[in-house]
This record gives sequence, structure tokens and C-alpha cells, in this order.
Amino acid sequence: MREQIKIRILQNLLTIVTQKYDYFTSYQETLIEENFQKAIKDPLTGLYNRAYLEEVGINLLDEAKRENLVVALVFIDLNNFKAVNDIYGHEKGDEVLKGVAKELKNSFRHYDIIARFGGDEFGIIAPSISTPEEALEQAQNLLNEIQKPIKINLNTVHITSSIGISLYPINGNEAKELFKKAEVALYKAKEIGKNKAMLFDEKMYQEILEKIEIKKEFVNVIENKEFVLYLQPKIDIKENKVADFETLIR
Amino acid sequence: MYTKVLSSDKETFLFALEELKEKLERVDFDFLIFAISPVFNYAINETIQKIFKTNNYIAFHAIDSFCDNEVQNKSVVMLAINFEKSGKVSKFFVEDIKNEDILKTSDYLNNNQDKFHLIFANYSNGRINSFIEKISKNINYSPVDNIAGGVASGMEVENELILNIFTENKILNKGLIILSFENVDAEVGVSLGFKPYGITYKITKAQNNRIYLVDDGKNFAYMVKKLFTNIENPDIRYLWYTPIYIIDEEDNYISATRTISNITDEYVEFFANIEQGKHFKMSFATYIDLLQEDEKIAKQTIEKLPFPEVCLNFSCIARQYVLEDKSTEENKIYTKTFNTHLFGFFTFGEIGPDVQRNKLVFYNETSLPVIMKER
Repeated sequence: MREQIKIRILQNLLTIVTQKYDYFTSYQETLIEENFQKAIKDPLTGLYNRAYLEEVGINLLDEAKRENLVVALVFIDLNNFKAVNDIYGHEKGDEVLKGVAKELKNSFRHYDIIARFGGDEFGIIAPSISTPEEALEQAQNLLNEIQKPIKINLNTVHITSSIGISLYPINGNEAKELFKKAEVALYKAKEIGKNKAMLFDEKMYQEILEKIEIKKEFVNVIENKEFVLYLQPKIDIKENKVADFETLIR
Repeated sequence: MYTKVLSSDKETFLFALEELKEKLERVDFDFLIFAISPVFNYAINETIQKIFKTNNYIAFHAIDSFCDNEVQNKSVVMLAINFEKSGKVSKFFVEDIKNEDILKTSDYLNNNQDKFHLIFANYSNGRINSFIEKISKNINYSPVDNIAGGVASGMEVENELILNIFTENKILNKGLIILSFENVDAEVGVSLGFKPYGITYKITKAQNNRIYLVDDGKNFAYMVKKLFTNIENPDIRYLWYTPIYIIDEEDNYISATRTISNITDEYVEFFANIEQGKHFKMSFATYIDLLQEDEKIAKQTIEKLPFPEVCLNFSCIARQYVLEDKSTEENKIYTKTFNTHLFGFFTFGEIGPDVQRNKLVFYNETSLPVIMKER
């Protein structure tokens, strides 16, 4: 045993001293690669991060334009994940996230780009999906897989998810636009009930835009202090006196 | 000089000393040196004084000590010295090595350069190596060929390192003792045996015992970890086959050895201090290389001092690992070549001249055979 170790050590030493610069070059390359991986990946799940997905999204769309391909952008949000963190702690919550990440990797093709945006949100650019029907079918399978019971300690936890999808070139030509539209579809899926998948459509966009406009107006009014508080008295007729006030903002 | 080296493996220190006294018979002695196993740590001074009725002794802990050709474990080995002409021995000690003791110790050595000094030191939480190298810078004579020694070796018992040096009524757990021999000729051999490999590296970032970066900012730990390539369950001791050789800046020769004690992602740690700016080479040896070097050094040493009367061997505990099951062979080479009794131990570091005798050095993985003869 000791003889084999000595021979190995000597062989390794000779390799190091005769290829010193190669080793250091490969060290630098390893370091660059490690730093690159750190920059583009989510440390918890090993999936890509949002910045990388957006960057790749732009490149992939350029490629899709040249090749006349369809590309799906899929956004996923876990519905009751906060409760898992609150009840079982962040460590168990992290296990659930890792489990979902694993499921995503199993469900999509190796050339689809899967990312975790942070928290319980995930995004996928899937050149493997070529029609809206395929996208919905894939999304439904995913909803079914994610909602399968998960064992945490002695308890069984049910997690559901909501999915929003936008498709190039059906819903837009630019990456930014498609990201926004997938988010809108996800918002709608959550609104209509949990464990749903929605494909983006323009009507949905108008609804959301209206809501956003209303929200914006509210923000402006609050910032400009245009709201006025009114206290409208309620009169007790029998007693003939003010019994209460109704508060109004106009 | 008449010497006797005796050992006892009795289960108590008292019984061991009684046996040694009995074996010594009626031989007179002027001085006694004891290498005692760390299993013995109670009433050491009192027992020696009771049995041998003297204060002319030192004792120190050693995990494995040498009695002629034998390597003794869990025992007591004693060197008894009886001067027959005008030989004398005196003691100088530092109880707790601190910066203020550097000048005092170097002054002592400078003022006694006609004597031969044996240093028995405590590890002192690793401070001993920089202490010795600071003393070296203050030594004002040349060649520095009259000093040798070793660091006692202990073991941990219930999180406490049992490693002490004893003399008279003192227990030194952070200090050192210098035995200064008068009217005694001595010669120190420096047996390295590791073959240098490859190019020379410059240490560009180091702190205490650690090398972080070499050359233009390269991670040295990355390179050293490559030594474990294709080795399952690597043990840090495997790297004891590959210590580094520190190169003397001015004369471009090997001035010290350093053995690896730990590796992390950031640094490589050694058993002795590392100086930033120094250069070094990687090295490698098997027991065959070490024993061949021992033989060569023994022959060179006896040529300088024929017919020695005693030999001491300060040999590193990491060298013992590389010697594998041949650890007694080193002593056999020395006793055969010098034709004397041999006393010594596997150390936690060796102290001796560099190969050019320009300065005093703290070594790792070296064997320092010391031969002495009364004038």
C-alpha cells in the first residue's frame, strides 16, 4: 500500500514540477470557470440565475429569429411556500426548493434553460416547446408533479404552483416584452385560482394594464396629496343626536 | 570520556530509574541525560534526585528514544557521561522563551564559542523555530559548527500536550536548556537525503508557518493538493515524503527543510516558520535515499573527528515516518560507523548548523548525528 502511495506521490510531483506553468494555467482557467459559474448560477439549487436567463433569452431569440423557431418562456411560482418556511424552517424550505429544481430539470430537455429567480420563483426558456398546446400540456404535467405530496420529517406537505407562459413569436419579438407577458400570464394564473397554468393573451394584458393604470393613479394621488378625508355624521333620529361617523376618502 | 547508554521499560518511573541505576553498577558519572516517555510526567525531578543523588542531569520527554541501535517506546533511556580528562559540562537555561531572551541566549553562545553546545528545547507552541533563527542572526562568529540539538517530543493526553524538560527542581514547558561541553571536541553531521525536484519557487505571500502564494501570486495550496491526485483517502503524512528545501539567498544552497503539516484551499502550513521572499524547491525521498545519505554523512563526519566516544542522533519524527519499518537502520549506520554508544530521539524539530556552517538553522525531517570526544 505504502509503495503505491509513494509511487503516486512521486509521479504527481514530477508532473507538477515539469508542467508547472500548465498547472498554473489550468488553475487560472479553473478559477475563471468557478467565478463564472458563481456569477451565473443560483447557489442553492444549482440552476441558472435570472440575469443569465435574460442574457441567454436575448441570444436565443436572435437564433430563433434566424431559424424561424418557436420558443416558450415559462414562469413558475410556488403558491404556499412561505408557509413551509414559516412552519418547518428555512432549512426544510430549501429542501423543497431543491426538490422543485430537480423536478424542473427532469421535466425539461437538457437544452432548455432553467433558472431560479430567487425566493420561490422559477423561469425557463424552452426551445423544445413549439406550439401553445405543447406548452400547456408541459405546464399541466409540471403542475401535477409539483403538487405531489412531499415528506418533511414525519409530515406530508402539499405544494402547488402557478404557471404563466409567453411564446415567441406569437406574443412578441423582444425578450423584454416576452418576459413581461409571461409575468402577466403568471399573475392571471394566480388570480383565477391556485395550481393553474395560463398562456398569455392580449385581453389578459389589457386587464392587467388597466389594473396597473389604476394603481399608478392611486400612487400619483397619494403623492400629490389629492385625497381628502370626509367624516359624515350618522344621526340617531330617536335621540336626535350624532351617533357615529362614516369615514370617506374622495 | 566514558559513556554508557541504558534503557528501561519498567511500568513506573521509579522502577525504571532503579533498574537504570542497577545497570549502571559502580560506574562513576559526571552528568546524566534522560529521554523519558511522556507516559511519565509525575515527580520526575524528585525521583531522579532520590535515585541518583545528583543535580547534574537533564531530562526531557521523547515519544521514541534511542538506546544504541534500538528505538525505545514507553521507556526511559539514559546517557551517563563520565569525563576522564579535563572535560566539563555546564547548564544554561531559558524558562520561557521570549524576545527578551534572544539577546541573553545569543550573548551566552557568543561568549562561549570555544565550547560545544547541545540544545534541548521545548516546542513552546511553535515559537522555538523563530527563536532559534533570531538567535542565529545574532551569532557573531563563524563557522557555526559548535551547536546542535533537538526539540523534545510529547503527546496529547486529555487535550494537554505532555512535553516538558526537567532539571534540578525546574520543569520547563516553554523553554530550553543548553548543555555546554568544555574541553570536548565535537562534530555535527547534517543528513538530509531528500532530492530536490524541478524549478525554484519564490515565496511571495507567507505568514508564520504558512505559504499562501508563490511566484507572481500563484496559489501554492492548489499545486500541493495535486500531489494527492489518484490517491484515495489521502493522509497529510503522505506529504512527509515531499518536504520543501529552503534555498539560501546568497550562496544558493539548501539552508533548511520544512515539512507540511496541513493544507487548506488558501495555504499550505508547515511545522516551522516560513519567511516571505525566500526561495524553495520541492523534494522527495524514500527510506533508501535517507539511509544512503545517513551513511554518506556518517563517513564524512568521522573523517573530521576520528575515534569518537559517544554519538547523539537528533532525528525528526516525520523522518521516522519516511523511514517506515527501517527506523532502526539509521542508528545502526551511526553506531557501526562511529563505533560508539548512541543516544538520541525522534524530535519535533532539529537544531544545527546549515550545510555550509554559516548559521544556525531549525530543521524538519533531518537527522543530525553528533559525535563527541574529550580532549
